[in-house]
Amino acid sequence: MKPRRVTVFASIFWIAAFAFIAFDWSRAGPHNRFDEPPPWQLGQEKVEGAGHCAAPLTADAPAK
Amino acid sequence: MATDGGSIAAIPGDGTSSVRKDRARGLQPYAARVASSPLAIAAVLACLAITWLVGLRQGFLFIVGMGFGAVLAGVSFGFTTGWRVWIRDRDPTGFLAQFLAIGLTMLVSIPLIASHEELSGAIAPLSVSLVIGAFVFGAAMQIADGCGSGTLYKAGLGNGFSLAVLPGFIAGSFLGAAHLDRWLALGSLPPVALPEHLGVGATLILQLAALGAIGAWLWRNRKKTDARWKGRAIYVGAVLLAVFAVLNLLVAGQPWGIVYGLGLWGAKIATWLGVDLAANAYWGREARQVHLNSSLLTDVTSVTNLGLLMGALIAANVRGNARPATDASGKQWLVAVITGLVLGYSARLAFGCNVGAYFSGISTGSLHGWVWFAAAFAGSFVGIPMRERLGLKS
Repeated sequence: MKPRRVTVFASIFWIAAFAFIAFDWSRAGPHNRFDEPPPWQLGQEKVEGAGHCAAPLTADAPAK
Repeated sequence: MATDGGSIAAIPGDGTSSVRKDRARGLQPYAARVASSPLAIAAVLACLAITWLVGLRQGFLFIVGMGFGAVLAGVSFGFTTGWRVWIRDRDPTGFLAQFLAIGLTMLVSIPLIASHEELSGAIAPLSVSLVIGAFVFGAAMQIADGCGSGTLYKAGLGNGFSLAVLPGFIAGSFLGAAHLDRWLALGSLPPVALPEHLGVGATLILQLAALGAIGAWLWRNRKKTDARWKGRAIYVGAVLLAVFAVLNLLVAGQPWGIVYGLGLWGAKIATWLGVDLAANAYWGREARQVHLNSSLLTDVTSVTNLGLLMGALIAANVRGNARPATDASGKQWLVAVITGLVLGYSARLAFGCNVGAYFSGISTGSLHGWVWFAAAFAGSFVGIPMRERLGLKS
């Protein structure tokens, strides 16, 4: 594959990624940035269900 | 396909030789070149935007993710490659660097988690799905020439093969999580957090001894030490990875992960297409529904993934190797898409990839990390010959 084509591929990827984030933001519920948790978790209250690939099914509240 | 060398195989050269060339040419220091990169300005703007829109924690996590990406690309730190280079050439360098990173992370993470209940480890059940998923993932990652992190950031560099793998990876991660309850019904033992059973000191001694013993055995049976990496750059990279992994734990409250974010992206796309996930055993859970209805910028794994992409792009541009050449046949493109699907699906059955299960599992004292390691390594012995039969050998 020629470098120019790779550049095009990379550009398409980043444009698609940006569009994905923007579209997701537009569809998401309103976010209050002043209601965010502290900058780091250490020393704060535990947050359940933050989402990790190792988290088992029982790690957070059951399905509705 | 012209790419070789694992997750960054397509990138010619290695961190050490690159640094040596730079020094020899008397080029400006690496940090100054990073700072003067237009991409660095874009990264700062992205970080400010995330902080402004979502909050300081997510801004910090974007920076941590950039650190991961910069290290991975900067020294060509490849999990997949490290295993393949040992299996194929009996070169233990990649393995030893991985063990160094895991060991250092473990030394800080396990005591921290034990003394701070607000911090969580990557602790997962010992299930049949774990063994099957890790074995399949180990084989598939050798065919795809990259694990979760490698596929992600190589796609960001414009590697065509990884770009073909990534959509399948996202779809597979979503589907694997959606089917996880059925796989767990095959049989599962509870999660085992070693520090809870053995204590912090004994866990550290036991795990460090295990890593040391395996490392010593690999070293004693080496045939080469320069098949892929030369010099100390990869070990410096390992130390830096450990630093960023600990920062990730302190800021996010949980260890470094990749695949949850990819699955969440897939689940979001599915809901946009009209799929109702409210009744699904995994995506229907309250916390997952909150994530599905919030911006992905509020998800810690997604933000570190985005940072990783940006950091890798900057590092690769500074090194001058951000356009990895890829040349594949039609059949190989199809293989890439299918392999991506298998990678994502199996990673969810196995409760993570090289990062979420192997790196973060072991470094936070989860027994499932060791099971994952054994099964995925066995799978790599299957995947490497398959890769060569498919014509993906360098």
